[in-house]
Amino acid sequence: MAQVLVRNVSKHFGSLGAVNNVTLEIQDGEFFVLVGPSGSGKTTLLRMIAGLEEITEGEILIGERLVNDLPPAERDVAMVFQNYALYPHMSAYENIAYSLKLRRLSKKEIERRVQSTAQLLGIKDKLKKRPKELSGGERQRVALGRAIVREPQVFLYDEPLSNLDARLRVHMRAELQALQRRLKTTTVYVTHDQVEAMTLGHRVAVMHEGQVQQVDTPQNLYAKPANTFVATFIGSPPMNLLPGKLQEQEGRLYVVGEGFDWEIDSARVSQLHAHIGRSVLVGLRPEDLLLSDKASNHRSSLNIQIRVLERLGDMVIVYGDHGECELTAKLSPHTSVEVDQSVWLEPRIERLHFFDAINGQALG
Amino acid sequence: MGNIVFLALRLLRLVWARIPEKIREALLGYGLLFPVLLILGAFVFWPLLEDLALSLFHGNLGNLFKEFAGVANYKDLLDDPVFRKAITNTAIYAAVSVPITMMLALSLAVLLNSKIRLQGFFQTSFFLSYITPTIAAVVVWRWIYERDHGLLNYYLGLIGVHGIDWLNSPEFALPAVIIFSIWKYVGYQVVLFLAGLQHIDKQLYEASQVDGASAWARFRDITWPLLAPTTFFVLLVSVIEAFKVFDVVYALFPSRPGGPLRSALTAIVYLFQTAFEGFRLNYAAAAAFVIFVIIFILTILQRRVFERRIYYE
Ligand SMILES: Nc1ncnc2c1ncn2[C@@H]1O[C@H](COP(=O)(O)OP(=O)(O)OP(=O)(O)O)[C@@H](O)[C@H]1O
Ligand SMILES: [Mg+2]
Repeated sequence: MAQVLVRNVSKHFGSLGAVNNVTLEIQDGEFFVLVGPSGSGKTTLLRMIAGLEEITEGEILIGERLVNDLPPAERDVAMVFQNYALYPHMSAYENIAYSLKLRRLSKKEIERRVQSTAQLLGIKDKLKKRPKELSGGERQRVALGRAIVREPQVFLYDEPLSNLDARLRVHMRAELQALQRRLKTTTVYVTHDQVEAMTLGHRVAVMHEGQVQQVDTPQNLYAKPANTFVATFIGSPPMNLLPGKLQEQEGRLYVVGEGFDWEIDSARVSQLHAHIGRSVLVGLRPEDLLLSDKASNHRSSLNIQIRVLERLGDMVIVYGDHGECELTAKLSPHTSVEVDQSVWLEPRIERLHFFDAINGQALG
Repeated sequence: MGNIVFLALRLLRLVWARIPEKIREALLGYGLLFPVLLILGAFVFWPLLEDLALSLFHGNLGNLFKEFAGVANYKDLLDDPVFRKAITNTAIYAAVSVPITMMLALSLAVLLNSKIRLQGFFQTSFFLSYITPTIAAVVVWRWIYERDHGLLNYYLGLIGVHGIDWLNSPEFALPAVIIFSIWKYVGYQVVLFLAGLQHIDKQLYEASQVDGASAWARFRDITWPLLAPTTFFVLLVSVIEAFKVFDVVYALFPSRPGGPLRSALTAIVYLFQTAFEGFRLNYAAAAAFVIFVIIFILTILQRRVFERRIYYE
């Protein structure tokens, strides 16, 4: 087990900067998730940690050892590939045993370790089969077994669940979590699925265009996104963003925009005072918009005409347009609303997020 | 007229529909195979049978089937020292040139496959030797093999070996043929091996690297087993090709086919001389059949030995 330090690491493919100046401190035994949209550089970063990709700039340390120039074999990391990369001509047993054989362990020791790994993963009766004769879930387990059996310092996962069907994915997610709790091996896990990131990660790094946007616990990413990218990437449906301006009137602080002026609760005033007069983006999570009746002060509510309506059983999601902006709200399943109906939505003022309209950074 | 055709077709359709499904499928299958069987029959099986028949007779150019001879031609062949020499030479030629060519081609292919840069250039260069007509290449090679001014002896001279008369001494004639054919076929095999290598998932190499495999272990555990279908195919084809070697020998030794003291006489050269220079067609037919049987047995043997160990995707 070991800490993984990534210091000012960049990777260029020709003129393209796939990873730009990334710094991460992954703790010993931590389940660390890299999440981001396609092409954000997650795989590239993971492959640099594995040693499969040259580092253009910066340093990577595993367990206090600088590994920049070490080949993958000497880094003591195990990797699970997105499409498993199982050796097609070897049985499941041979796949799992391969790294041990290379290390010239005795036949007996190999047998013991492969069997106990297979036991852990519930594939004892599948060991004689070739990868082709296994189902997706079983292959996935063999790939996991190949990593686990080595007892490496670090596990690296590149979207290991993305080839599984939805049900199996949820199941394997839980198993991965249990496995990590048992083995306590430092893990770096790449995914583009924010639900996986939120459920698995002790901490999550959100990546975008080769840069780390924010590193934090799942709760903090959700509650205090550092910028508009994180705000809209984490959470489903994504956070609403409305343009507005911070203004002071008679000693009170307001955010004013098209069709609304909301008084900011006193707890936040001191934080935002420095930004008076600034153009901002107001962030509103869909679940923080409540249905209100017209009778109340209309400048406190937003009027939309429902364009699309999704009934998910435990909630109703409505989509509509407010001026130039699309608004999304998560409403209680018992709400009786229809498509084309015009409704008023009132935000929970204390849950508003504020971002600089120009650079997108969170304010306060 | 049109009506009759129309009626006939309708009738055919009615009858067709009444044939049980299973038989209909079989009929359709054989029907589709028929053209291929026809071509194979006309150009492969029929000539083979004809050859066999010819070999069982004594005859002359006027009457090839003059008198039935049973296995007399075959008996004579077994006692014919020239034929035995030709078969031995061919076997030596195959046993030496095939493994060397394959090892060389495989090594080159693995090297080319790892360095993508200029791959196309090298691939084309190697292939050139294969597509150059043997007769044209031999003109250059006769000069390379020349005793006093040849390129090969010049280089050998640098390491202290002098005066080998490649094309005129019985010891070196067959080696000269082997060296030439290695040069000729290596590029062709490189292309085949490269195609096989490119079929192997690159991620397997990455996975094995992470698993701790050295370059040699990666070759032994990933490349070799996964390339086996290609290797086996190349082996089969080149053994067959080797037993059919003809033009190289004929072109390298134009004044005395078979080389000095028949030291480079190969099976097909023998066949050619017997049939078209000696005009002993019945005897040549027997020789042809023996060569066919040898190739056939070798092919079956190779399948027996290797096929079960090959992993096919
Ligand atoms: N070998 C390569 N050569 C050139 N460009 C590359 C190479 N590998 C990746 N890239 C580029 O680097 C950027 C980051 O790619 P990367 O695979 O790391 O993204 P990712 O976050 O893993 O995306 P995904 O979720 O689609 O897997 C992309 O723009 C990609 O096109
Ligand atoms: Mg990726």
